Formats: sequence, structure tokens, C-alpha cells
Amino acid sequence: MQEAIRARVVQEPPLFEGEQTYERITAQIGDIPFEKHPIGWTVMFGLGFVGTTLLIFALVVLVAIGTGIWGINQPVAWGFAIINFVWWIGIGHAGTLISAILLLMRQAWRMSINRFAEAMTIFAVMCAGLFPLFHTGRPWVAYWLFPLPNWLAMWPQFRSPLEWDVFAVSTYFTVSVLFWYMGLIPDLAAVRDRAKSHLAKVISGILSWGWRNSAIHWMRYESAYLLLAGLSTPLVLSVHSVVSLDFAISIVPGWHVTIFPPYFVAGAIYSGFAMVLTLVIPFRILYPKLREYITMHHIDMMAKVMLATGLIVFYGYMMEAFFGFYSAAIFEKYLMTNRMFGPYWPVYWSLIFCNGLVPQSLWFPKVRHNLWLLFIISLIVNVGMWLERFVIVVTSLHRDFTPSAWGMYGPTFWDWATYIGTLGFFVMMMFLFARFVPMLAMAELKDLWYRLYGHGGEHNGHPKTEAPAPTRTGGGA
Amino acid sequence: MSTVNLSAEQVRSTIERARGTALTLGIVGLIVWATGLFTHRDLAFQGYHFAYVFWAGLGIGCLGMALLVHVVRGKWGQPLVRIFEAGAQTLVPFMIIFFVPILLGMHSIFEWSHPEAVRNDPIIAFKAKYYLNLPFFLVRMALYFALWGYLTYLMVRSSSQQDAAQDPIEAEFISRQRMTPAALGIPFYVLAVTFFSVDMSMSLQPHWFSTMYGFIFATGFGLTAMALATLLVLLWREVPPYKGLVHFEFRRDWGNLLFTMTVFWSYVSFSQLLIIYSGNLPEETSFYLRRNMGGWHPVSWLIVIFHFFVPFFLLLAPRTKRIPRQLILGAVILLAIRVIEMFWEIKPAFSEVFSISLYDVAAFVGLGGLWFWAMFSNLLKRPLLPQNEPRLQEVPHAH
Repeated sequence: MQEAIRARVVQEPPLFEGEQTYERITAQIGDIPFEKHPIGWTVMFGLGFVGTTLLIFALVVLVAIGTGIWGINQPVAWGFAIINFVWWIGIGHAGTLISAILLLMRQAWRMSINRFAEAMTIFAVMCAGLFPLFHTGRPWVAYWLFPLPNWLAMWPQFRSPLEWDVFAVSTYFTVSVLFWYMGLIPDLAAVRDRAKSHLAKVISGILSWGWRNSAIHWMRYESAYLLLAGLSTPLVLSVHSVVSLDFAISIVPGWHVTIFPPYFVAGAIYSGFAMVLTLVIPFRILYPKLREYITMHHIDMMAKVMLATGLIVFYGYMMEAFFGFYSAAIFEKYLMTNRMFGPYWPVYWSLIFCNGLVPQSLWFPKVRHNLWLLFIISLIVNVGMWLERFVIVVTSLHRDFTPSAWGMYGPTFWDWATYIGTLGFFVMMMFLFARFVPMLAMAELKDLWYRLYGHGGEHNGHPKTEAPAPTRTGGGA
Repeated sequence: MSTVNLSAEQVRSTIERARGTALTLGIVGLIVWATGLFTHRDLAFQGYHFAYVFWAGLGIGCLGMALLVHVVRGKWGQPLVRIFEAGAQTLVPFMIIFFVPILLGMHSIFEWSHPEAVRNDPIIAFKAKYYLNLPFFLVRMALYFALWGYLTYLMVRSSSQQDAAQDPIEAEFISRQRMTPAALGIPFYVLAVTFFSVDMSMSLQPHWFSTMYGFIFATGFGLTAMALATLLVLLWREVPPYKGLVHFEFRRDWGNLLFTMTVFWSYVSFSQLLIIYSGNLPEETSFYLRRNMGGWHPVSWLIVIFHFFVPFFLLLAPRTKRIPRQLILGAVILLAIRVIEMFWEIKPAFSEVFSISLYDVAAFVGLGGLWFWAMFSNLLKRPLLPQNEPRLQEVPHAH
């Protein structure tokens, strides 16, 4: 009995379920775009489409009338626009962490979820970008944000982190798209070779740039991939650090907090992994084939990353509270009191509940292996991270130094419409992605499968060693 | 696969000799330092405080790295983990005993312990009432050391059990069982390090505060420990049991980890500077003003260069990790700059003008010698490498 328990405990969880061959991996994943899609796809795409139309409607009205239709005011000039911007940008971070940092750290479990998470990153950054763009009130002059030499001799304020945001986010978007597309090339070639319709052959043929699977192609591909991973790694830290500086550079109590950069980055990864789980769990139900590649081991690892980053975020809340008190500065102390017991107290305590208490359940393996619970927790975390940005933006602004300048903030119908609209757009894009592109990185999965089981016909059960040899990178320098 | 003999331990005689030297240095250093108690009481205690925070920090960092190794169970940590555990074992009781001089020198060290400072300064009065007062300070210190001691005990006990395991499955089971206390311990460990850094270093300038401080210290402590362990194992690389073990794969992982920790330290330190600089509020800038005037400015630049730029480029290069001597150089640079950085954190609070007193050096050498003596003694008590550890046995012999 004792022996049996021990043997079970020490068993390595599998990265693949079921018997796999190269052919099977390609067929299972690569044929999804050519198959009839489940009814759930149509429903979700439809919902996303409705949301997208709502978004377009809300933005048209916004441009026609002006940002006055939003709830923003003085003193809370940032409102939903910045809350949603930070929330969406944060969600994107999981994709970059999975694709870049976990690659350099030679984590085998990244292989099946990276494509999916990178797609999520791209769509999340698209949603994020909309908010500051329309928050300017005059999106048609958005090019003023770039340092274009022009006849007005007017330059952006280079010392402002809002300007750094322009560079950080646009770089981030560019590198994410490149990374995602680079990884797609061998898979698009596989799709091209399997496509039945002429149109599909032509489109995937053009997109795969004449990929012929030659050794030279692979060599160049691998070095380019590694370089992009190296480029993306600092971006994981820098983008959200710059976003945090939007707040921290000012002297508003509650914004001027030195811990903000790492705390924002951890929060971003935390919310990103929550979003990956929110998407992966239903996708595994819609497309049962994916369960062979996104196993419980992958889900367990994601839950663990969520727990770790959630603890860092919670540490950040503790530090804010402690130093609000320790500083003995009147405004800092009032800020924390106001957050906890002021008019927005329910938001603060919901935040502590969502981000501080609920994730602690992830300590238990039973919870990490229960998909329903995990799905609910991931939704709670998504809400929690949104509340965090609400607390930071609104409670800090609405009561600052002079009581005569205090005010309250509440969102309007149009705030909600824009926010829900971006959610719809995001869902629509994710389902379009599932419809047209191989959802998992087939080439990488085959490579991983070879490294785990390929030598000497090892039975497809458990790896011989605890971790596979480095796939495709050799782990950087 | 492996032809490395993991149980021959010729390096023991080297360690024993080093331990003797360390003990001598330690005693001589502390005697020299003790003379200062009669002539320059304040200076002596202040020097001791700096030495204490550095060496206790090294022990704390060793504990953090040991917890990390036991949670992630990576191959890279296995040759180093006994050094981390031995370092962590110095915290209790050694570092508790050597806390006594800090208690005796409270008034020379902490401004908030002066009744007149509390009376004349409302901010210090507030802090002294609720947080920075002697009884609560002692309670907190007791809590930190209790936690650290308990975590060390759990880790050392479990890894010793693994040494004695009967079969590979049992060994793996013990190793997996250890993950839970190690993982649960890390959040509490980080909180304890944070408040330790507030109590021992931030409160020296009682008006100043920064939420980032805990991160800077926790990373710094861990980096010091990692640099020391890498250095020791690399120095002993030609002697069994390390002979043949320290191959490129390990060196690459250690070099990359040192690189990552250096970059992370620089990132959090620079963020703190940038945010405080931009805010330009008098209660916050005091920290950096102190360190950019009165001769401290070159030290600040020394840290910028040797805590970031030099290790960044050195450890980024693949060549460094291929040639052991270059990685040794990297570890030595990091250890040296960690000492300077800790001096830069603490000393300017006591002295607006740059100065190094004899007692700073004597206390540093004295406490350090004794620390090494204690650490080496702990290290010699058990096998130098984890036994029954599959992650060590599968090391390919590619030297």
C-alpha cells in the first residue's frame, strides 16, 4: 500500500495523452481548420460578433459626441479607459512569458499552449490599444504621439511615461506578431500540404513563404526564433513596468509607489495566466482532441504560475498597506484609510477577496485538478485584476490633497458598452483564430515528442528523464 | 552514464583548512573590533551593524536559495544545495548569538531609540509608538529567526532523510514531499526578509520609506548566496566530489541564474530610483541625496557599473560560462560589489561624509571569519552532495 502510494506520487505527469505519432499530431491539430466546427463555435463566435458591433457602435457615438459620454470627470479623468487599457495589456503578458521566458528556461510544458497564448496576447493588445487612443478624444491625430518631424515643430514630451507607453506598446505588439507568425510558418506549410481546396492551398502557401522543411530552413528558423525570444524577454518586464510608471512617476498618493513596476508585471502575468485558463478549459471541451496535448499537467503548471504571481501581487497589497501606515505621512495614511473604509470600500475588499484569498485555494492539488473550480477561479482572478486597476485609478484620483477638489466617479452606459465591446471583439478574434489557424504549435509538439519518446521506440507513457533535453534553443547563452 | 565519483570527498581537507583560517581571522577581527568599544563606541557599533546585516543577509540568502532549489527541484541546484543549507544553518543559533552586540549598541545605531528624537519629531514619534520601539523590535526579530530556523530545520531534516533513503522511489518521494513546506515557506520567508530589511536598514533613516525595499534586499541576499556557492564549487572543481561534476551545463545554468538575479536586482533598484527621482518629494529623496553627496557619489557610480553593467555583459557572454576562471571572476565581482552595496545602504545613514573606519573592516572580517567557520562546520557534518539524488547521477560526463 505504502509502496503503491509512493509510486503514484513519484510518477511524472505526461505531456501527451494517448499514443502519438508525427502523423497523428499533424492530423489532429492541422485538420481542425478543415473540419466542421462544433455548434459551440458558432454560438461563441456569434456572441463575439454581437460584442464587436456594440464596440463599433460605442466608438462611433464616442467620436460623434465626445468623451463626455463617458463617466470621466475632474478629478477622475482616467476612469474606465485606463483601467481597461491596463487590464488588457496585462492579459497579453502571459503569452509573451510562455513563448519567450519559458522557452529560454527550457520548460517543456510551454510547447502546447504557446501558440494559443500568443494569439491571445495579440488580440488583447489590440483591445488595449483602443482605449488610450479614444481616450485622447481625437483619435484622428494619434500620429502626433510619434516623434514625426513636422512643420509645427511640435514634439511629444519625451519625459512622460505616457509617451514611453507609445513606444513600449507598439514595440510589444510588433514583436508579438512577429513571434507568433514566425512560429506559424512551418505549421502553415503543413496546412498547405494537407489542404483540399485550392484557395486554402494558395493562401497557406503564400503565408508559409515556400517552406520546404529543409535543414537550412530549420537552422535559420531556429536562430531567428531564439533571437525573437531574447528580444521578447525584456519586453515582458519593460511593457508593464512602463505602464506602471504612468502612475508611479506622478506624486499622487497611491500612484507614487516604488514597488509598482515588479508588482504590475506580476499582476500582468497573473491575469494573463487566468485568461489562458479561462480560454483553454472551454476550448478543451469544444475540441476534445486538444486534451491529448493540453493535459492536466499543463493546466496544473499554469495554476501554479498563477499562484506564484498571485502571491507577489498580494505581497504588493500588503506593502502598500504597511508603508501607508509606516510612512506616517498624512496623505499616504489617508489614502489607505480611504481605500479600505471610504466610499469605494466594497471594491477594495472584493479585490482582496479575489486576488488575495481565492487564489490560495490553488495550493491544493485537488483544486488544481478540478477543471470547473479552476475555471471559476480564473474568472474570479480576471475580475480581481480588473478591480485592482479600478482601485488604483479611481480611489487614488477621487480624493487627493485638497478636499475641495474631491469627487466621485461612476461609469456610464457607454463605458460599459466599450468595455463589453472589447470583450466581444477578443472572443470573436480568438474563435476566428481557432477556425483558420492550427491552434497548437504542431512542429514544436512533434519535436518535443521526438525528444521525449522518439529514441529507440520508448513506450509512449512517461518520459525517461525528468525533463526533456532543450528543445530548439539550447537555453540561450 | 556517469563516471563521476560522488562519494569520494577529498575536498574535506581543503574545507577543514579553510575553516581553521576563517576561525583565526574571525577571532583576530573581533578582538580588533572590540578595542573600538572603549575608544569609539558609536563607530564600532555602527561598523558591527553593517557587518551583521551583510553576514546575516548571506545566511538568509542561503536559506532562500535552498528553498528555491527544493521547490523547483532543478538539476542546477543539486551541487550547490548543501552549501545553501549549511549557510542557512548559520542563522540559528550563530546569528542569534551575534545579535547581542546590536542590542547593546541600539543607541549608537538607531536614531529612533533616542527619547529626544521621539520627543522632537512627530514622524519618529508616530513610528516609535506603533512600530519602531524596542519591545516590538525584539518580538519581530524573534519571529524572523524562529521562522528561518524552522524552515532550515525542515529542509535539512528532509534532505538528510533522503541521504538515508533505502531505494530510489523512497528518495524521490522524500524529495517531492519537501516541495510543500519549501513552497509554503517562501511567501513567509519573503515577508520576513522584507520586514528585516525595514527594521535593520530602512529604519536607520527613520523618515524615509520605499515599498520596493524588500524586493531589493531579498534579491540582493539571494544573489550574494548564489555568487558565493558558485564561487566555492568552481574553486573546488578539480577535487572530488566536485571533480568532473562541474561541467558546462551546470556552469551555464549558474551563470544564467546569476545574470538573471543581477538584472532583476538592477531593475528593482533602478525602478526605485526613477520613481523617487521623478516624484522629487523631500521625504523620499533624502535617501539618494545622502548617497550622492559628501564623497558617496563615486560609490553610487561604482554600484551602477559593477552591480549592473560589468556583470551584465560578462555573464551574458557564452564564453564566460565556458571558461571556469571567467565565471569565477564574475562571482568574485558580484560578491565584492554586494559588500560595497550593503555598505552603501547602511553607512551613509551614520555618516554624511564618505568614510570607512577600522571598525567597519574589523567587524566585517571578524564576523565573516566566524560565519565561514560556522558554515564550513555545518557543511562538513553531512555528505557534500545530496545522496540518492537522481538529478546528480544522470550528469553526462562531458567535461
